[in-house]
Amino acid sequence: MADTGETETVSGSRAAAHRGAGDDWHGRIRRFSKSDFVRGLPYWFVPFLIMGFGVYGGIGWNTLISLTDYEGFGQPPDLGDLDLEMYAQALQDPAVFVTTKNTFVLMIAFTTITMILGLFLAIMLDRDIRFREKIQTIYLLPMALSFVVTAQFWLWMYNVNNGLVNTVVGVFGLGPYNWIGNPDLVLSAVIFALIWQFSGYAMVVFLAGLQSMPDDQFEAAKVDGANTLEMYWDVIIPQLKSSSVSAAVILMIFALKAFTFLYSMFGQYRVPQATDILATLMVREAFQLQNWAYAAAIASILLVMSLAIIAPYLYYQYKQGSL
Amino acid sequence: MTRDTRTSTETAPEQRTDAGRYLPADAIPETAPSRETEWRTRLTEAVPTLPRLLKYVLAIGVALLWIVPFLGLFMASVRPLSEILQGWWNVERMTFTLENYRQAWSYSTAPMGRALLNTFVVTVPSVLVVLLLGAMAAYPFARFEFPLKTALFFLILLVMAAPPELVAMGNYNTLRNIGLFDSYMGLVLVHVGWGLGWVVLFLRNYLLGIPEELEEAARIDGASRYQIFRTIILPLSAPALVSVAVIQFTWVWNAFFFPLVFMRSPDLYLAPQVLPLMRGRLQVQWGLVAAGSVMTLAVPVILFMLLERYYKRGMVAAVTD
Repeated sequence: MADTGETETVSGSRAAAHRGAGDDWHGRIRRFSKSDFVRGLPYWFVPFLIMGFGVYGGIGWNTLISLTDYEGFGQPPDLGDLDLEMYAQALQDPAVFVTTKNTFVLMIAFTTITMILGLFLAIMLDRDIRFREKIQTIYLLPMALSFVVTAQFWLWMYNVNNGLVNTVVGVFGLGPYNWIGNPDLVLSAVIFALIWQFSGYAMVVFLAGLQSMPDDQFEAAKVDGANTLEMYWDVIIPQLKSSSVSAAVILMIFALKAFTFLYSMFGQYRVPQATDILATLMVREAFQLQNWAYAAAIASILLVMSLAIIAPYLYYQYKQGSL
Repeated sequence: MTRDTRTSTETAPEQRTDAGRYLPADAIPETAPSRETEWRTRLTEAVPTLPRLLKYVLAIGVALLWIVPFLGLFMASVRPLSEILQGWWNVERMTFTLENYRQAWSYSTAPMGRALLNTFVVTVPSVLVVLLLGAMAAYPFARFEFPLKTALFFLILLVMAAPPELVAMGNYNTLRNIGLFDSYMGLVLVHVGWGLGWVVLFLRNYLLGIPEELEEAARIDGASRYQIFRTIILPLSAPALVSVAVIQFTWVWNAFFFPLVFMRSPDLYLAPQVLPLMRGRLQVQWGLVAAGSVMTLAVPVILFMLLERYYKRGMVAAVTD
């Protein structure tokens, strides 16, 4: 279909060339107006406008503001002197250091454990099991919830006095622990709740990968006398590489966005220091303390981090031809 | 699937005798899955062995762990606070009450009833607009050839990378300047801008899987691109559009950060915004919070259960293709 479009324009241009220099200009306009670019324009122009306004405009404004000393409203930001002062300040700020560390801990622990758990669940549900669909639905259910809801009920489960978690560990003669109040435990508690919410997602991705594998691979491994563990480790898991990479990228991006969960769990901009991540620091600086320029600089750091995750992935996918 | 529909429409007139109950022989895919292995696994399923038993115990154990918070939430929402503090799992002397729901529905700062309505008002247009614009933008990226196509496409994809916190400040300012701050119009606009990234990627990949011959035939009959889009592309991508709709719906309905930043009048609060307010100051009103949570999660969870197939397909395809 694209081919016919091209032959049409090619013959058009040839006709225009024959008619001489006077018509050439007209021909070019007509050719241009019939090109796929112009014909495609009505389809993608409005979506791009909205994306440009919603996302790229925001990013551009953010970058610009991060170079100023802008603080709150009233007067427009002074665009006269742009410098990297805010970035220099951020690099020396102990809060930025702590939140960056927490962001990495959260991201890596959350992604790794979620993937391992998801893989485990997927292998468990892949074959020789009944009620697969029902069990899958249950594992996946938390994905349909808002972070706000998850935060509320995990807060309740973690309650020192009457939470279910302490009751359960109490059965084993442990605790009670103050999961939320204790700075050593709170990050783990948050990570656990996030894992609960997202491992169903990892499971679905892995399960799709497993089910697309032909049965004879499993059969062949069995004929070779490999036990189940060896079979999965040597034959099946290596083939899940592309599913794993995709799932990891998405989960890491989610981890960077954990602001909503933390904010609604603690009900305020100021979250316990042990769970303070870059996103919470940034929102607090902007919307509570009105340090807009500084918040914008932190946001830029966050953007660079997400780009560092997703850009190589997209490039790799593009090179593979799967994009 | 597309193949089947074509063959059946072609052969339909002369094969009316079977009232369309059977597929024509050439519509049966050549690569039908072999039943043999499935039959064998079915036989092994009938015989429980120790590892298999272990597997069931694990699978059901994890499922329990997953379902218990929901159960607790529901139990807490229908019991008075004094009983919840004793532990919702103590079921002897249980009092059933809808008081929590009644209170949450007409909560003083921002009634849940109105908040749910508000959430609908924001979510429905956000979904519909994303569907339309996403399909429109995906079409040229799947079918047309034009300069800058790859560059523009990457520009769309990178939207998925940017954290919402990043552009919130920029959007906050823009919306204030154009007078859409604290209005649903502005919020919908931001949601649409954010949704388009993955929607365009997903739909474009789906369209690439639709064979071009179908459009070729229509082109020869003199159909314009718009006609092809409307009569061939849109109907054929219906399953993908359902996936997009259900995921985007869940996404927008559950969103908290954008409403937090852009909606400031309590009258306009959305359900996820109201929920953290219900916690109260001294003694946390768990029953009230639980009732509010159940109300907030009901719509997306029911939608998820009804359209789970599409939901899963969308989640998997959005990353693996």
